[in-house]
Amino acid sequence: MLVKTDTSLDLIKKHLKESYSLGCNFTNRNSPYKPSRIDSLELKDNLTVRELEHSLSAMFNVEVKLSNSDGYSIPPEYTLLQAKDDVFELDENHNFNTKIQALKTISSSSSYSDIDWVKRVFMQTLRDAQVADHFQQIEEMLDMVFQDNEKFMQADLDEIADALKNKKTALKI
Amino acid sequence: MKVTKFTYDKPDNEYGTINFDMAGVLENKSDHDVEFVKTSVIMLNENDVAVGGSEGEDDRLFIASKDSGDVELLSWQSVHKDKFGSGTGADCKAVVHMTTYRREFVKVGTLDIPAKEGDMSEIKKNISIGGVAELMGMSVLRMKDTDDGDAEFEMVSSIRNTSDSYIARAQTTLKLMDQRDAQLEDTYDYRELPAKSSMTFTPSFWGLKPGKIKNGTINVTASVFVPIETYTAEATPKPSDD
Repeated sequence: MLVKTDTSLDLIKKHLKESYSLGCNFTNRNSPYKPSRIDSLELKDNLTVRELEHSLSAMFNVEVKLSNSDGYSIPPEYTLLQAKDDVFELDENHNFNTKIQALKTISSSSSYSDIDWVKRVFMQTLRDAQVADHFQQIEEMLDMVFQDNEKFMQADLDEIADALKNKKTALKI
Repeated sequence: MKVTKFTYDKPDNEYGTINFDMAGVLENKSDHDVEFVKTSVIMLNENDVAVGGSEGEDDRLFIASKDSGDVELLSWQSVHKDKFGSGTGADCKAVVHMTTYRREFVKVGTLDIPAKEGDMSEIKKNISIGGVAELMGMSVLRMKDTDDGDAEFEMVSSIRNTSDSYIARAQTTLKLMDQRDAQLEDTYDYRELPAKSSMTFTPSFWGLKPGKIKNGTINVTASVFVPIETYTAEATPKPSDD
């Protein structure tokens, strides 16, 4: 579909729904309309959500938000083809993986100094660990943080290592 | 909330703009799971004057109670280099605000699809959504078929915010099922809902052939996002590795 500045927003909504199963929310802006340098946009499979939202926003002076069939937003880097039939579901390891990622983020940040927080995240991660792979990931992360951060002391390492050992014993891993 | 990454690129050769990226980690100390965040960032130059900024929201994260998780704060935000005395992002300072939200969800009920023009189906009860909002039933009126021969409905539901909290998103979701309980279509509508206010939603379906929806039903759910906690942080950027 080729969108021009005189295309109705309802037609765009209908096309995105029928061709890509996507919902589209337009919100009027309060600022005065400024003519856009973009005068047309082709809605095609390889157009990214970011490009679509940005271009339509500029062409029609509206905020544009694409959503899947449950109303969840679509990651901006997705193409329309990738966004088609998008489903947002949490997998069973979501909570564990979220905390491992948070540990990676904190440990790779040179600005942090809150070791208590890092220790809490380790303990939270340990709480969700259930299988050998989980424990291996925690051990690797523990080694990395201990090596990379001078504020993470031997006593901190020992405290978490003990808790890890106890949980592994309890789970017979 | 802690800003763990705030970087700036070299100015773009053609446009003179500097790209900034920012991410953080949130520790959810509350008793609720975080399922939605709204963020806003103000970017200041060396005189503490606003030179850029943006607002964002993320409904695809889930940080369980007492857990920590990453949050994206700024992505692809650009500011022209001439807004900074040095002509680089090193002079920038960002003020970050974030609010976390929990989700309250209810299965509202099922409506029969009205069989012919003028028929109306109703959900005749008011349903509490997490004790903070109320869905005031729902009506579906069958209208005259369109010129294309598609079935047409006028659907209305209203949610009122009975609390003193701002609801960032109040949403109704409808799934249209055929007589064999296979999903034919879906639609939703959402809005923000200030304290002690209401919103009326008029979701719609397109291109429904009357034969396909005969003896079908509409499953209705509703949800609201209610604030948990607010956070504020300041950060100064570092050059990106690229």
